[in-house]
Amino acid sequence: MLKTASRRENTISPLTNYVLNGGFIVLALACVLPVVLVIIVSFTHNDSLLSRGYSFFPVKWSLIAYESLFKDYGTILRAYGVSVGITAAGTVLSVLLMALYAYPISRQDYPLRPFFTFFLFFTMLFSGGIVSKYIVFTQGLGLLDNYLSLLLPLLIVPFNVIIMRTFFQTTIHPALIESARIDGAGELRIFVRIVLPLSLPVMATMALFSTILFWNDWFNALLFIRAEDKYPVQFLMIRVLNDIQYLRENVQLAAQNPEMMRDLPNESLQMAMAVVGMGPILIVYPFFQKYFVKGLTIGAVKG
Amino acid sequence: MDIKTKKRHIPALALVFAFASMLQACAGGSGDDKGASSPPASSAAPSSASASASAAPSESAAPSELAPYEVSIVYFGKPQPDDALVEAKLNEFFKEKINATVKLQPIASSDYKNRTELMMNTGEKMDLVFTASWLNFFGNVSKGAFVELDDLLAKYGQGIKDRLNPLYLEAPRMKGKLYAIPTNKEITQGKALTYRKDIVDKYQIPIDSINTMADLEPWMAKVKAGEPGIIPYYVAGGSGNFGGGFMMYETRGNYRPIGPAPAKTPMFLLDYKSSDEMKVKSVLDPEIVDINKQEVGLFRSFYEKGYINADAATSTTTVNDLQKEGKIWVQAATWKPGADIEMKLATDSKYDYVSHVVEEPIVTTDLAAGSMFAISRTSKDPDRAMMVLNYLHTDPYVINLFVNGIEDKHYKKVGENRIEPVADSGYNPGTSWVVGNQLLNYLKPGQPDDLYTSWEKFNNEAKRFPLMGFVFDEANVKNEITQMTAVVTEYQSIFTGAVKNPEKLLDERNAKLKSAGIEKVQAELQKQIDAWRAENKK
Repeated sequence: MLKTASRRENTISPLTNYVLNGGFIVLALACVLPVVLVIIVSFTHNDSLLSRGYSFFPVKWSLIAYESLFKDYGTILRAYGVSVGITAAGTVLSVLLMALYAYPISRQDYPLRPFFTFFLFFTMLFSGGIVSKYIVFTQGLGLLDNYLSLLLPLLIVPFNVIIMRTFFQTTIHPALIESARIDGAGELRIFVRIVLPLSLPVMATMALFSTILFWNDWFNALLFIRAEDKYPVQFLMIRVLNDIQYLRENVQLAAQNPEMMRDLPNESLQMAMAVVGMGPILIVYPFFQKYFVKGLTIGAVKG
Repeated sequence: MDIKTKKRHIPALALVFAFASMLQACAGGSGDDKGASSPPASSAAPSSASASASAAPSESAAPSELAPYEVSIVYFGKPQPDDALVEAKLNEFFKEKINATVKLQPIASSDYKNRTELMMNTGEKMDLVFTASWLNFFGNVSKGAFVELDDLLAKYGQGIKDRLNPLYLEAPRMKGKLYAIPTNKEITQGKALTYRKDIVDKYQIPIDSINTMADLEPWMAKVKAGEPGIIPYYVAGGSGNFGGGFMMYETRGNYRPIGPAPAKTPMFLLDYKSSDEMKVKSVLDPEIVDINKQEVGLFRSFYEKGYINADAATSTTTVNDLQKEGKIWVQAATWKPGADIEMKLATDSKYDYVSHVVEEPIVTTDLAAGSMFAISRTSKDPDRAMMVLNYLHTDPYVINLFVNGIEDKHYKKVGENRIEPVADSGYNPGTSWVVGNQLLNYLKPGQPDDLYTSWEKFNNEAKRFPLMGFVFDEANVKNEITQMTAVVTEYQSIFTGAVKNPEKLLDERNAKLKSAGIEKVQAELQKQIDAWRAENKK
């Protein structure tokens, strides 16, 4: 009697509680531990890496990886600057442009809606390929070694535009727009004063997507950036990792030209680079998080 | 995080290749006669200048007669902070000599192949382009990416011709025409067993009498017993070092690989000493199967006795890292004069090394074409590009500026021909084997004084492979080779010793290779070799 009274209607049994909590703790650890390991390895001395492999409790700690990484701090700071700049500018522009595309095609009363929706959808299925992209950017637009070549290719992500359109369609009732129009608001005012404030969750979600996209992008730099002082930080790092990978796969070539093996970073240095590369994104996440859940549920039917 | 972006580009990449081959097909019509028709067209602009230049040797052409031109040099090397300074210095020199400037375009190793092919496919303007047999040189030639060089070399490359071993110029040819100028360095490499000197001294190992892996066995046992920290024989199967495959044929007879090698595993072999018939054997040939079985059996027994590292099948740690830790006492390596010192320098100079060469150095097409410069079809002035290349091959000042940087800023001169690099100076691209004439490079600490004379001797004495100059065109058997690559990749780890019953797996692999069409490829290879011999009367 007493037992049931102490338990409220909606609570779960202690056993289920433990099981659920345990399950999520394991899940969370599976996400967090690899990151922790990367950080620890970056502080591990190379000797103990070679003799014992990766370990959470290394025998010998060292700061050598970071020392040699920041010995050349000018390069890294500049690359950071490029990445931060591209990410900030890219995110703002990208969210704005995508919203401006998504909003009209969310409106039932827009006559060209089918055409522009298809226009967008088509690019999801077919792309011009890298050769044509390369020709357009380098020979058509002349953007070789230009920061715009890092910005432009990622401004509109068709899939994200469609998510946004769906969000506008489901959350913003046509009656709302109609009433605003009756009150004398023009299209632009409706968009800025009514639609945008109501769509904050999806905006924040898209901003997060864009931030990650721009921050992690190295492929456009691979194609379009030649001068090393214009490299974004991710490309700087992926290039070093690729170089190592390349030499491992071409043992023969490396053996014939030992000069290539010189200055190769060891594993703790590679991990230190990964830590340096992921830093800012870890900071950005919490800011967007409160919108994130809501933003992702868009598209689901709501009661 | 990167996985996401990477994945997205895979279909895109596939599209590129499809698209690229279409582009090439379109360009193909004019591609064949390119060699004959395009040089006059492309040199039309400076023709008035080059007419006078061609009368006199290029060195004496007055700079004022040549229109200013920027020669872009695309090469295999890590971009350096001081590239611009070096470029400015190079420009001073070339401006005065041939009224040209250069644009250095270093591309890091991992990007090099993809990026240059993209540049070729999109017709971007380039002049001198680093290329090599392992960068699909012959494929790019047949796509028409490069200008034919015989005439240019005769006109403006006299210095190159004088210095380069004539064997070199036999390799980068397609249908008899020259398409690239090899970098002057050691022309080939032998294979050797390289030992740590202190261990050899300690155990009195008679390295000169150890010619096969089997000879090594008693010493592996001794080292295992006496040196607990050392791995008796290290195999990194996770990164393409498959142990047994490396010296299998070289230590067991006169067969040498020829033709396609899917996943870097030789499939076809030729007895290089019986030059009279040139009969290709595949890995299905009983004799070759026998060699393979002996080798995998030997490695399996090494592994079972604990001589090979336990993670041989998957390990990716580079030998260099382990050498620095003192865990390696012997390894199968490539050899050329000075190799021991290079190995010492590449591993923080912790140990001395000695080698015993187990294979006579042979010059094959692939090795002689291992590092070269070609002139791109998109060059607007191939004459000038060749002049620049000629200087890189003949002028010690220019070539050392290119590979070592600026004196007193990037290196200090400590002898007539000897330098000491300045640490962290902002220019140390490691391109001595890439550009021009390595025999003109200043010597670095540790390199012996007679390094270059011994290289020249080595080059002159190197034996030529009977099929030197032959290139296999795999266009007709592409599907078969793709299938063979899949099979070989699947069974690659049998050579590491880490898998059970390797002999049985080898039979299994060979059966699969047979159904993948290895015999068709063999027939095609034989056909092409016969045709090549008839053409070259050998």
